[in-house]
Amino acid sequence: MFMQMVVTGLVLGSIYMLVASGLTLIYGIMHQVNMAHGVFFMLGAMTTYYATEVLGLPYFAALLSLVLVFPVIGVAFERAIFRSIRHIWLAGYMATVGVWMLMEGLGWQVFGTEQKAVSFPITGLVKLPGGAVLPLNKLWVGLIAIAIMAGVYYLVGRTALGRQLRAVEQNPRAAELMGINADRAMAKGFALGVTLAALAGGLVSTLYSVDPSCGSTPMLKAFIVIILGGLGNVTGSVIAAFILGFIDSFGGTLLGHQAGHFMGFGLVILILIFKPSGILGDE
Amino acid sequence: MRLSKKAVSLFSKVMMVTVLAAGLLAAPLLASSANAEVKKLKILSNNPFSGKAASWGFSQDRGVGLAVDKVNKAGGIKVGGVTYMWEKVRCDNRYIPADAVSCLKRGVAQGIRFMCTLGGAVTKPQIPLINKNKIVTIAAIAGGADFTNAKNKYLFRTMPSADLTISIEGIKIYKKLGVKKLGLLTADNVLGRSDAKTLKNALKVNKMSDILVAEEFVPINTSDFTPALTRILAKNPDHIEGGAWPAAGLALLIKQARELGYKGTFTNLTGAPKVGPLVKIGGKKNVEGVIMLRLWPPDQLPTKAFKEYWADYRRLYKQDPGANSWESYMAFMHLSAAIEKAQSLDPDKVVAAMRDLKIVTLLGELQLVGKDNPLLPGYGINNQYTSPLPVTVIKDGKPVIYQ
Repeated sequence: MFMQMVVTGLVLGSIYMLVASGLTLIYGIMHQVNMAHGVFFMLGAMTTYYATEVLGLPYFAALLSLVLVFPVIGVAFERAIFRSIRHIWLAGYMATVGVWMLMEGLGWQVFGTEQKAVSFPITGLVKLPGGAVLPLNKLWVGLIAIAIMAGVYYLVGRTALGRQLRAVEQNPRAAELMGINADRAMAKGFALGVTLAALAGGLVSTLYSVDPSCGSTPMLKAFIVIILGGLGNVTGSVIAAFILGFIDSFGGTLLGHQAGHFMGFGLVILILIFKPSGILGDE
Repeated sequence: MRLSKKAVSLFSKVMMVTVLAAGLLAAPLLASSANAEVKKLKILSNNPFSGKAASWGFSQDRGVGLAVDKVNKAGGIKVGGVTYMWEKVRCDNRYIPADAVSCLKRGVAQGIRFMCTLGGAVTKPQIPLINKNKIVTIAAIAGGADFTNAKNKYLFRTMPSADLTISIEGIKIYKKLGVKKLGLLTADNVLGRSDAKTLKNALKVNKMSDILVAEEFVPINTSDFTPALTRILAKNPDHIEGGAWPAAGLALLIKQARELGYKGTFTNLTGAPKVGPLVKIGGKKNVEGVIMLRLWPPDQLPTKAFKEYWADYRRLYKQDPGANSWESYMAFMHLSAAIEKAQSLDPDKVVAAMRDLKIVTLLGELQLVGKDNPLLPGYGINNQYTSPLPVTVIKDGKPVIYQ
């Protein structure tokens, strides 16, 4: 059972990491809490469903299509809704809540009420020492999530776009004085965050069912992760995602579901009391 | 005698004014008389239309909707010279107890006296308001005497209670399968807890208590059952009862259990999940052999009326109906007939008429039972609808009657 809990913790952690990474990027760059993050998760899952199950595209092609489509959707949302109000924190927050409610409600009308499912092309399981089993679909989802995060690290740490994003994150005005178009950089950062949410949706859609509210629970987990890890800190989020994954797995298995849930929120409360900036957040 | 032109003109003017005045005076009277002929009668559809339980909610709402159309097309309900046409008012409770209570409060404020709802978890907190405001309620709820009892005289259960599904059919199935180690994984809500209690009592009565090796409760919106399943599978069950889940929940539970290497059997005694989404989400191979109650295989429908209902539902909604739809349809037809029989909208007169009334509907004769029935202990009141209870098993991705 111990090995099974470790395996489950790693799988859950990698999923939480991917969902939270987009949220923390957007917060880091725009200092905006995006309550609509779960909507992009849901749209990614729905797009994957329609691409694979309706249009008949191979799963990995559908996943690739998210990388092509969602940056455009992200830029469009940023321009249409967030740019003009991002300086007013509360207005931005309420706007994202509005988008969340509106899109979820519309989702039930547009996509219908029937729960949907996406098939993962690789099935089967691997038997591990200690009697644990690791389903291959979960192994692949975890590996792809880690690969995507490696890509994000490279993009943010080693590319011109990453330098722009980091400059804007540190001081938008100073970045503009250095010749960086802060508005454009923020739009790109937002698009990246949205694309990560959609990719998380596309991956998780193969593990769970898909409906218009399927983004709500992952978004809640993502908020726990970014508070634990330190708002806006990607590395902190990665660490926090795996901590939460292990808490959910060990807590849920050893003490029952409610206890696992309580432990996750309990940890957030403790962190907020003793280190409000999170594990790797700036004081 | 000839009248002068002046006199004719005066006479015609007087006549015109008289006719006009009479018309003006009569118009409101005629209008009020016309209004008195046809009135609207509202039924609140207090259901989940979003969230994981939405498939249940739409199923009941559509069943009642088809019944509303049927009654209205047949001329409505005639009570004391007044014709009432049904109007269904929807409120999305998202399968959240507080939202369901809010929906009911809004309905009461609008003067609504009839309601359909479902799910013990969201019906339980509505009961005080139902009783206080005398809301005649048809409800798809499991549980037993905790819902259906003499105190809750306005609450009518459309589906078979847990005393029938779990205590009788469930035990029969477990015996037939030869279950040696049973694991229960159900929803952490009033319904799931109530079902678990009924199951334990039934096992005790049948001297089978020792077969229950594990019981777990997780929220109804759970997507990842792995921790709970890990706890259950550690006890090596050969059978898992997936209790109060809609299709998606049960499908994920089964899929994840199979992914963890579980090779035993499954039953679902309460949820009556729709088979299409169950197979699609759970995977055809994984859900093979799952045994469920209350579901009719589309090619084994028992009556002509039921076949017509099935075809109407499919034509309108492009999918097969769920159990909640036809059970609620039948209960609504019974309610409509009872109002006409009572010749009153007074809730007490309507419920009194419902208790003695038998009607023939989709699955044959429909009536209410519960009082002095040894199979329904503690009910003490005829508020439980009866209808045939099919047992089905999934074979090759399709439901067939379980022999």
